[in-house]
Amino acid sequence: MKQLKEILRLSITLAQAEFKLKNEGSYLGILWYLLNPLLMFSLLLFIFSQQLGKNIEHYPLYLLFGIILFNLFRIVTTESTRVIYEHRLLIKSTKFPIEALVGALIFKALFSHIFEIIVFVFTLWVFHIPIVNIIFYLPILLCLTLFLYGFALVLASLTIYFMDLENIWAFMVQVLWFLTPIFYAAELNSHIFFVNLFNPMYYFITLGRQIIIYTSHPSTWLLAGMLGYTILMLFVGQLIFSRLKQKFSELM
Amino acid sequence: MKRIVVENLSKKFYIGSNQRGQFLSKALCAISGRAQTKELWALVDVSFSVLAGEMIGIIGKNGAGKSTLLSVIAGIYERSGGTLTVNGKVISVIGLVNGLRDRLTMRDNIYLCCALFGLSRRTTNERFDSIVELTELTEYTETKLYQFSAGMKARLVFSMAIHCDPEILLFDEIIANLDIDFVERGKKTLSDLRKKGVTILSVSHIPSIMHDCNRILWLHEGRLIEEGPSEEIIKRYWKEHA
Repeated sequence: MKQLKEILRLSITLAQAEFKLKNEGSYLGILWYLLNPLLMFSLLLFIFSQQLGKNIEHYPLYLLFGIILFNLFRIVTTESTRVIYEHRLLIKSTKFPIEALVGALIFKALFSHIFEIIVFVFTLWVFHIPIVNIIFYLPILLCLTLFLYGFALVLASLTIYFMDLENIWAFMVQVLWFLTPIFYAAELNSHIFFVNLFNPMYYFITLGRQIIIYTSHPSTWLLAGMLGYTILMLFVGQLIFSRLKQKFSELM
Repeated sequence: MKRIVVENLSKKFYIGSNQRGQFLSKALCAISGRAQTKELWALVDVSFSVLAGEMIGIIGKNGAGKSTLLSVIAGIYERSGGTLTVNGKVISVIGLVNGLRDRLTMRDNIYLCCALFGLSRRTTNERFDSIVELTELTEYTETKLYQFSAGMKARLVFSMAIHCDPEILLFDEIIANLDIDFVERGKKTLSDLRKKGVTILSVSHIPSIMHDCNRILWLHEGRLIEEGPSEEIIKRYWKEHA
């Protein structure tokens, strides 16, 4: 518990430092964080709203929510493949809980995610959907954060042993982007639906849409999937990272 | 009270290593039968112990294993053999000057490094002025570190390390970048810390620092070849390398 508190405290300090570094000399600041998902949203809405989104209720909200969640996943996982190597001088000079570097990455990504969620809440209001529903996003975000932490621990540690993973993962994220029902719907019993049962992001995105956009009760199997993947990834991430981190300083 | 007890400590590295390699190069090595790695023993059967309040100097040529020894004691490297007992909070500044964030200000770096050394933000707030005061760089707190000289960075690292409640301090050549005036003041600070029971291990070749040590460890090709009073060992060391 004490170590967890230490990791959390250090993660926040590191995230603050990283945030300052990232925004150094930037005039538009946080607007840059919104630009990418909003441009993607506008483009996909323009292209797909008349075809793929034709039969999806509140398609703009459906699309925006998918983009925002996947964007968080993309940022955390791709940056996690570089985070250890980028801090190698620090790792080699003093002992500290290295997990905090991954924690800082998550906090930094969550900060920009909050602004994206604010835009999403505004869109909910435009579509006359009760914005109070966003409260139900908090437990989903908590699970997603823990899931991403575990996932990032795995990627961060394995990339130190296999440099190729950085490039492989960049490609894999692209594949997952098309595989996840972000701009289309995965009909039950379709091929894409069965494939997505093995895609953790499917559970987070679908559950969020179900509760927030369509104000319906969450499906038990989606809840179970989300919790299952969260616990599994947290456990696997901790296990792999704690086994491999001892050698990080020697391999860089 | 013994702060550090080292018995038959060994550390092995793999050089020319492909451990952090690409799949293709690993596969080619496996197919061709070419050895991927070669063993290098950086430390071999090193044994010594250090009491609370002692200051130990470590000397030796480049590649003798001085920094590796500090890194193993700090817990940065895993040992390959032997036993190591460390009693107390270790603050290591092994090349930390390179680990500072050049694009951040001195203030930001203080908060960041103190957090790495285990200090809470509130405690860092309380000690901030004292840290800056010791560096004598009070007018540069909002200056980014890329505008600092190596000596200014060394002062900063030195000051942060001693303000983070160390029980064992590990320095690696940091003092080499400090000017004579600051070294003298630094020696006084270290002397005060020793009186409080802080143990100091320092890799350095500066005679005035080495003379202040209780003992000197002389490493050569990973082995501890001499250990004894500073005057005696330094004399022999310089004689051999004259």
